[in-house]
Amino acid sequence: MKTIIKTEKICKSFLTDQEVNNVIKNMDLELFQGDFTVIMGSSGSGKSTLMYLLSGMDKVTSGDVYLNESKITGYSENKMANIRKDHIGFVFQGMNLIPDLTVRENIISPTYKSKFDKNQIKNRTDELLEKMELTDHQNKFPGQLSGGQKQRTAICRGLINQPDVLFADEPTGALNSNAGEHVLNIFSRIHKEGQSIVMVTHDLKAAVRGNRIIFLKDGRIDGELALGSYLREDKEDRERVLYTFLKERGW
Amino acid sequence: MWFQKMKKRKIQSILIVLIVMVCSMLMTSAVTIMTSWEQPYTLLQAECNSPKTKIYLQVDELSLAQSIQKRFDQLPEVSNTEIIEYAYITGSITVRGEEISGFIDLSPYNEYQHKTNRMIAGSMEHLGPQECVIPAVLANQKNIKIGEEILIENDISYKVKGIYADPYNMSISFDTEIIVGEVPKNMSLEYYISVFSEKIASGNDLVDLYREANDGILEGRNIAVEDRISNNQMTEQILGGILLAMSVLILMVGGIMIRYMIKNLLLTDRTSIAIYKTIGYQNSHITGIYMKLYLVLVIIGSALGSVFSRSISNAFTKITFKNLGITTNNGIWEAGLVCSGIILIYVMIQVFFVIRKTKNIRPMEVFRQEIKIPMSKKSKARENMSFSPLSMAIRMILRERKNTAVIVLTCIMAIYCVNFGGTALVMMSEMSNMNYYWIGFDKHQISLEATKKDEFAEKLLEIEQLPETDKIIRSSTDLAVSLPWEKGMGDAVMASMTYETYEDIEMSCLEGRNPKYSNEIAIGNAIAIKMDKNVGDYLTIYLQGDKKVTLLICGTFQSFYDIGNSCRLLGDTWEEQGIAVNYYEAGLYLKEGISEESFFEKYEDQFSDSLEMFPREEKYASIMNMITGPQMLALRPFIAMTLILGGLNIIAVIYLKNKDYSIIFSIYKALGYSANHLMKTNIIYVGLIALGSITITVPLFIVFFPKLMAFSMSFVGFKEYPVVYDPMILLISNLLAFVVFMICGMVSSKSLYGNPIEDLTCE
Repeated sequence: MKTIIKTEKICKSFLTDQEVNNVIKNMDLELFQGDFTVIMGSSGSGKSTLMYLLSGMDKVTSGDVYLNESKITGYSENKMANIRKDHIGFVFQGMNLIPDLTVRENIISPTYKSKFDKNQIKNRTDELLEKMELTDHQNKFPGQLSGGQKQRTAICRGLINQPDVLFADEPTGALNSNAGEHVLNIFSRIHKEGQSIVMVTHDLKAAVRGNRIIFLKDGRIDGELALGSYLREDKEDRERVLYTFLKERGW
Repeated sequence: MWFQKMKKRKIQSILIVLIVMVCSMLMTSAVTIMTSWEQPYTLLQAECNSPKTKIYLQVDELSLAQSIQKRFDQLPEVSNTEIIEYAYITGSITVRGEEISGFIDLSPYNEYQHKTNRMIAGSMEHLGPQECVIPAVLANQKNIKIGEEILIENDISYKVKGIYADPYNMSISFDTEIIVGEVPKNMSLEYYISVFSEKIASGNDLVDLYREANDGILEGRNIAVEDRISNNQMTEQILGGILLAMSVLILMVGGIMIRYMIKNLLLTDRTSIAIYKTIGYQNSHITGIYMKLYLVLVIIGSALGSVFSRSISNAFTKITFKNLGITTNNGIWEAGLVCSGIILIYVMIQVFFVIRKTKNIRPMEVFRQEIKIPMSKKSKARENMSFSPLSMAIRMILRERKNTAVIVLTCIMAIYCVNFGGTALVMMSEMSNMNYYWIGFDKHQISLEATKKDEFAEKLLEIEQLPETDKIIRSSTDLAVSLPWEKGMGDAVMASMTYETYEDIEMSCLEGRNPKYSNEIAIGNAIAIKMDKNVGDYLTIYLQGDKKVTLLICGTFQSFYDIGNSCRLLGDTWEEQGIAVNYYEAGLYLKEGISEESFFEKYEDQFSDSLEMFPREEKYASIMNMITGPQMLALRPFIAMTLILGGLNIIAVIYLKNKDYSIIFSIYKALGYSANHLMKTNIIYVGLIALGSITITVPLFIVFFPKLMAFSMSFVGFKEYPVVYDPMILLISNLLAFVVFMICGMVSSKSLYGNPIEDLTCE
């Protein structure tokens, strides 16, 4: 399986009140194309930090990060911005839509100087709107949408440039159960279509959607679980397996 | 708690302090400039025991002087009178070979009048025949030291023994006395009467009493001490007024800025306010916390502004204060207190109206993160929306109209001030070239003035015959014209310019024209306003005190000559009343192609015994210097201040916008837009606004600058202010403002290079 992102002994430290806080410690990790990787761990375990290091949103204190076999550590701010635009998509817990842009405008917002031409962008936008059931809402502003609609807009935006990986940070954290379920179904669907996803979550129901679970503890990988592709019928079994895996690790 | 808030919002607090400080600096300095004179002059007047008025005779006869003196002595309010001799210097006055231009007299030492003058250096005692004491204004202008020689009319030299100050001798634009041991025998003596009083403070009131007792007649010109003091302050009053007007405008913009900043602060503080409310704080408590915070900031800003205002006011006042023999300006604290009070009230009202809106913050809405989106926004998405820096900047302008309005307003204010400063500086430096316009004489090329009065007419005839001469226009300023006296009118005498003809010369009028016939008069606009007369009305005047004539007002004009209290007459008007006109001045017009330099080279020496020949631009140089000197000094710091204030406002607006936009910018960064891209967006945003503001401001400036200047000089009767705009200066001024705004935009956008994660995560 092709490796999309690889890390070699990455560390991330923060200085707080004259104290060095090592959040990620000497971590080696590989993420593979087509995987739906879920990063779990208790609060403060470093899962969000790891996601931001993998996505190039933050810089490692030491070690190297590779994207498609190219070392991206030490890239300039401009180069990293281009990497994010062309290769990476993001979905945040807080959605982070641009409030003065409509749904459609938000979706096309990462397409400036993109590898696609205008027609391709238009077609892809229409396709995503259709797929996420947002066509009727495309001219609305984020403030006029429900939480689920906002998150679906954010997913469309994350997918518009056909990224190598879609990162999602607690994507259902701010949603009610129905909306959350809807969003998770979308993740499962796009994963099935071949999209690589990395998701950070606390939520067991969300985590079972992944085929690979990585559990972090104190800035290190404490364990991994291969769950196989998600099927609705397997849901309960998967939850049980995952629950056991997590319980063994003090979840 | 307010202190905690201040600590947490250092940059916003600093910006508010700075904005208030600069407003306070400008306003305090303006008020200081306008008000700081009274006390030093009052003290000087008291110290010098100055005469309450000086009466300059209409006819220079000792007997007339004695007769007027006698009549003044009969008034119980008059404590003493002195007849003072003086000789007006018509020729050159030089020191170290450098010529001094001005209205300067030589006056022999008079113990009663001169003994109490404020001595700044040296002494006045036992003046030898060839020794003199000079006024500080003269000493300061030419940096004359004790012991130096002053050469009068290339003939007699006086050694400087002392430097003095008194209220009558503060400007060489008005008659200024060099006190000497002896006046040269060959100079003709004239007389004025100094009138002293212990009981009456006003010279004009004393003269009113005199006229009441003498059928309204005074055969002389009354120069009251209060008028002289007020004339000395003319320039400062004009500039102080302009500065005050500007500072009020700047304060208004500053107030809007502060309001905007606090609004932003409250938006970010919504959650904490909601929490305070939840835990039981009342609206008044919360308002109190913020009011205390801003009260402290405004007090700090205005106090600092008052202290630093000294640097601006000193730039205006230092020359005059030096002439007064003092160095410090004690009036600054009173002015500072008043201005701080005004600023405090104004800003706190602004603050209050923003802060009271905290009562509308409902905790549940905040906690649910309900955001009210105006439904009037456009609802149709554009297919081809671009995210280039230019497009994003334009979108910011169009969608953030309130931000844009504030920043545009700030830019307009700052750009106006910079254009004002730049053009005013050019105008000041060009004023001497247009001295004919400002003083109100004809635009000749070479000025001729008699040094030997009896030879002047003959020499003019000779010059008239020279092949280079096109024409000569003779004039006189020696003849006295007075208005019929009315109680309370002050000085009834007005300065006159008498020309042999006004035909074919450039000598501008506001309305109508210059006299063509002997029954016509053109009057200064100040006189027209004072007498409520218009072109076409008749005006009764006295020529040389006793020849009453009624003349048709054929025109009005504006002039700095005698602070606008002047008139223009034809020589024939005098001669018809039996008064001989001796023309001791003339304007020479050269034939086409003849340069002034070549004329001087060829003829200056030939005629130097009888007359003085000099370029027209140097005529009345002392008056022009009086008007332009302090302004030139003060305009530079003024421009700097307005640029700083404009820059500060831009920094504040962009900083707050960035703060407001920080999440949006972080989202863009997460989506793959570089900090450089966003920086470019901000720069283009500021640039577009600055360009737009310049486009709006420059025409506004061109329309309103002459009006503002004319208004500021309206008390000397000015109605127009002709401005010659220098495109290069306008370009440089606006380019400078543009560059400053761009730099400020860049400086305040530095935060864009920070890490966006904090804004985007919910942790």
